[in-house]
Amino acid sequence: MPFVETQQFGRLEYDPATEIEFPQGIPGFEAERRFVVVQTESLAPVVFLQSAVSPGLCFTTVPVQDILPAYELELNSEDHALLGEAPTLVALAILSAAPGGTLTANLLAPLVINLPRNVGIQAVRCDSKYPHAYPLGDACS
Amino acid sequence: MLVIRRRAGETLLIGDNIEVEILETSGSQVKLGIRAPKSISVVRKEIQVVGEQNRAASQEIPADGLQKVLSALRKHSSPASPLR
Repeated sequence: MPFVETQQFGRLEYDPATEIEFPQGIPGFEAERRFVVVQTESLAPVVFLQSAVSPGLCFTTVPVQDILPAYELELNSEDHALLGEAPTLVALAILSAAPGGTLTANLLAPLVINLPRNVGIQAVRCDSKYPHAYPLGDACS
Repeated sequence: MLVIRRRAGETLLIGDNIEVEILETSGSQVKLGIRAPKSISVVRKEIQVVGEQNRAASQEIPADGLQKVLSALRKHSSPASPLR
């Protein structure tokens, strides 16, 4: 089984069929094209996207519906072309920690994955319907 | 900021080797055609901002902090992860 040495999970063995390809990487990480999905029961519904190439690169994400159940995903024509046909798409919001300790979710630019094809993109909205730093709560209190 | 008015079909020149042509205007949208060397990156501004956000978000979030926030989320979480 292939594996990647990771900073966050140590040696991570994974089924290559679960590797997600990001054909254009994501903004800021355009060369990072391969990610492994990592989920743990204790941290559900968090989905970690660990780079298959860079041990120190891992994004912490949460499915958008777990943050805003009525979230409406919007993709432009280029997004659709990259993702291809899919009956369902998975949309994940990247979490980050603000300096004061609040965790926020990027609902403006979710990662969108076509699961049957294992292809992903970051879909940046052109509108301002959802914020890039939606507060989830204080992680430090 | 330099402010210039143009109509569809008109062009702006930036420096020696960049051209921006207004191809079409419809409603509140403008369609632009950009001719520039491949060495010059041309992206929607939002992309650059998202790049900065992604870089900030690539730092590991401590698990205990994550747990505190997740207990609040689980109250309206869907029963099964879409990725399983």
